[in-house]
Amino acid sequence: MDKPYRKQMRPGSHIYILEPDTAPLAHAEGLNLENDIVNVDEKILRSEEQSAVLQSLDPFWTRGIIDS
Amino acid sequence: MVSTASKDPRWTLETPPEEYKDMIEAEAKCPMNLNEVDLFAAGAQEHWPEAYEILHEDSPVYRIPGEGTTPDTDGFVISKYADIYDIIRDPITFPQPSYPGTGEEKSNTGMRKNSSQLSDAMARNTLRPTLDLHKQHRIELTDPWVGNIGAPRHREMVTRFVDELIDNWIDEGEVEFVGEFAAPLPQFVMTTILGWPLEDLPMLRQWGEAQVRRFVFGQGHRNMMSPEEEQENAEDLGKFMEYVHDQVKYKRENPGDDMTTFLTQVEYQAMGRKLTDQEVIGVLFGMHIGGLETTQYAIAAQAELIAQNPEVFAELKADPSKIRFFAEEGMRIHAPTQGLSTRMAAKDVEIRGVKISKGSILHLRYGAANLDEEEFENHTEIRLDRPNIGRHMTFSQGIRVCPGAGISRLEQNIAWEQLTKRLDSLTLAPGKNDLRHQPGIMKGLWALHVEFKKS
Repeated sequence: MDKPYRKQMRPGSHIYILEPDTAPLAHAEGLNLENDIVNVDEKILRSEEQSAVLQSLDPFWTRGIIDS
Repeated sequence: MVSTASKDPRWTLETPPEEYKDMIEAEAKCPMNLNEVDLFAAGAQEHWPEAYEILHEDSPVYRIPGEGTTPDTDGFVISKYADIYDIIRDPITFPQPSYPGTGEEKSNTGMRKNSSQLSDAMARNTLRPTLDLHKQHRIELTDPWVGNIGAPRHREMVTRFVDELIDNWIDEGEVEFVGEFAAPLPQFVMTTILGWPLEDLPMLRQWGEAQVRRFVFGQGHRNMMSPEEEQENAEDLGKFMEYVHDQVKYKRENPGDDMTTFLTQVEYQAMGRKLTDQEVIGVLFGMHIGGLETTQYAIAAQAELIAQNPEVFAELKADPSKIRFFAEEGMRIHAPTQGLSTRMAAKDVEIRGVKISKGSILHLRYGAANLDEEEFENHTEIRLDRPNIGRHMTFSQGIRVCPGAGISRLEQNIAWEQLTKRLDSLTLAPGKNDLRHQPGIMKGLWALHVEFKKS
């Protein structure tokens, strides 16, 4: 008997994903979900110039970007 | 520059449309239990904090039957901070939703044929079809002007408008703060950043209201409007699009130091080309809708908090370095955007034991997350030394964090820097305030009458 798929989003999370990554996704408009975007939050800093500017700023102004 | 923030009666908030009178004046009972909670009922906005406590305790994942992306799926109000935190960090499992009847109606340009959906299409714009491009869009196109990096360049301009608006009423001892300060400030600031004529502000105000109309007068968590309302709104927004198009054409021929000119000239690295007029208009629509009412509501709500907590005003006046923390607490306690149905479940998921099938729409209740006692201890109190200050959900977080957070924060901070410098006190004008808010999913005071002492 197959064990039902149940993956916790992160330790401590109250959200469990009930389908494997290979399952077809429900249609969503506006985003191409086929892209490789595993590490989304890291990509905002991928520009070296952008990263340098962000890091030089008062951390107060970068909340929501670096922290997120 | 000719235009200044001169005193002008047009800034008094216009009488709301007659057809919404019942909705605006509706009184809702404060909910005492889960059966009495309806966040979207007329008048419910006056009791949202109490409703959030009930949701947190009894139903943090609250089902709205049949209101998902299709009739056989549901909507869910998500109110706990931790759950929203997880959802907005996984745009694969929880992407932007599509609504029935809108997804397949595309013209050759990619725009929806149905003009009633114009505002949504334009606000979303066509330059962000992927998550990667969504992020690059912010980095290359909006951050330099309204993001956390670009906003500080506007400090002098914002300070000038703040002072001019205060000049208009500082000798009078009292003022209707929303109409004479909180509303016009972001209008002056955003119009200047965009490089549009300040003389056009009365028209822009009207179109700005058309842009947010569905979020104020729309029904339910999906902000639905009637066909007649959609048509009327589409006509207003059509005129606005023509106006913006004219501004784009003008700036291509008469460049200036402004965001519209920048967008017409920038070589967009993410696509390796310049932007078309239609693409520029899409970005500008988003800037206009995002940059006005939300900041207005935040500043007005902060004035209410100040007026009700005179010791806070004194503390900020004595130590202006605390103003930034006050602004964050103000935004946390009274989030201008209380909730948005901008995520769907692309997979079957379970949240706090509640099964959510793919295709369901998630209404992320940012205003409730900000008042989650598990995240913000003594959540009703203004605490300028809160260890997680600024970690609220008012701008959302993650990839879809508000692109204009920088300019909004700047306006709020400068507003209170100057107000605490130029005033000695700010209190509610006795007998003149009902402190009622607009309906919808935004939290905005209709009016705020305050008295003050000039420094």
